[in-house]
Amino acid sequence: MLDAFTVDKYKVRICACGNQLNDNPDYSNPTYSPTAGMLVHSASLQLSIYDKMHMASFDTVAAYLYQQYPQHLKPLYLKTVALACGLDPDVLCRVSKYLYGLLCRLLLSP
Amino acid sequence: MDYYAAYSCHLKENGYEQSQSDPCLFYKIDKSIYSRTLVWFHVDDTLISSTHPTEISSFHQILQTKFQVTANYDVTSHLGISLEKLEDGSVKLHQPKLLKEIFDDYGSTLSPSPYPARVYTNTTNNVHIDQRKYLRLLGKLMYLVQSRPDISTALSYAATKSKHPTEEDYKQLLRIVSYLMNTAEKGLILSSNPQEDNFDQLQLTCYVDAAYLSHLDAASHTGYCIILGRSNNCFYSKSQKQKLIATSSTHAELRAVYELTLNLIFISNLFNEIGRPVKLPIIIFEDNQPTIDLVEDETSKINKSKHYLMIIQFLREQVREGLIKLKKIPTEQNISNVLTKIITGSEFHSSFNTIMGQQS
Repeated sequence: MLDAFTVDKYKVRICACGNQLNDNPDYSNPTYSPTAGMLVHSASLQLSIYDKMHMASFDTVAAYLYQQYPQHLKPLYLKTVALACGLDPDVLCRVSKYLYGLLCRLLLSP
Repeated sequence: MDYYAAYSCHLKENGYEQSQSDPCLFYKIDKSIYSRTLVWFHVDDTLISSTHPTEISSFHQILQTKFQVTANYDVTSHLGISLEKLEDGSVKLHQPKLLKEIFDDYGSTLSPSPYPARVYTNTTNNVHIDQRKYLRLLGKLMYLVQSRPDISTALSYAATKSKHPTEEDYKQLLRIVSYLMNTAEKGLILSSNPQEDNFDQLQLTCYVDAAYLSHLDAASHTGYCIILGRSNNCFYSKSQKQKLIATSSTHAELRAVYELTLNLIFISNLFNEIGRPVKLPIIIFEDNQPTIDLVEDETSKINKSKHYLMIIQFLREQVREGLIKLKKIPTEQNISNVLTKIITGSEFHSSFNTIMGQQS
């Protein structure tokens, strides 16, 4: 157990020029996935067991990697991304996948 | 969110219907082979149940066309809750990993105790403690309630102290840990239909109770639990402090029935949607006669109850519509009594054994 109330994990959402963001479309795209309610969970579990249904569980590997950069948006060539990856900043980089909720205005209109 | 959008779109394209009740529940009913398939997920963890095993393997193939998944056809745990299959087809919910974590962190100085709370606590020790220390343990215990409804009452009362916890309140939390050490093997048992392949209408049975003026700030406490069909356990039980101050015991009881009815409407909509309709009216067992009279008897006078007219009229409407029916039960047979106040002794054990489906 940690002695004090220390931070042992960070969750970061990059937000550039937050004061210039508009509700829509900049962050109408919520960061987190909806989750099933407790009542739905227990009710479906009980029903499945009550009816002796067959059950299986699936776990998606690296679910966050399925966030494709939308094709209809302009391709992105970011120097910061290139620098972060240790590449030459003059080399053009194209974002194809991104982590949770990274779409913000700067990305939309470079 | 984008993963969620991709995932739900993929399911919809492949013939799964998204539930109106919950965005994370999908279902597929194939009338030609009488199959019913339920899919519900928590971010990247998916649980599927189906009456036909072929549906599960086809679901696996559907997922594999787009996502990389690991499949587990023998479900032993989900979201940190282990599902242990018992001989008669019922399943025991258990959280050994979280329990071990709590015991390792807090259990070293504690001795096992037979009850999660004491009825009378002396309030001499009013030294305030660090709130974060209190919340840290409280939060861990909160997640445990899913498999251990027997600590829910004690925990619910403890959670009302979380704004300014004192040394005494923290001792109360540790008492819950002591109780868990004593009964580490217990777990909620979800039982299966005792009759073979019987898909008749589901009967829901509920027990409801309220404890009037049970909190220091004059708020009352709601407790209710719901039983599905002929199973001998409550799949959902709730112990919660009431948000508004009730002015009489009848008012408190009515608020409890009202809160339960809101959930019943939701459950009956959910079950209707997935093709397993609930038999109406749903029977609610209640031990307070004035409450039953006010709701069931349209002609009863409401002179003294004008200030909660909305609740009465709402419940009367639900009775007229045929959704619920209130029935009288003696207080000592009302198993939800233990969800409303701290109780020790034989009633604690017998009621919670019924709620958790323990054979004893």
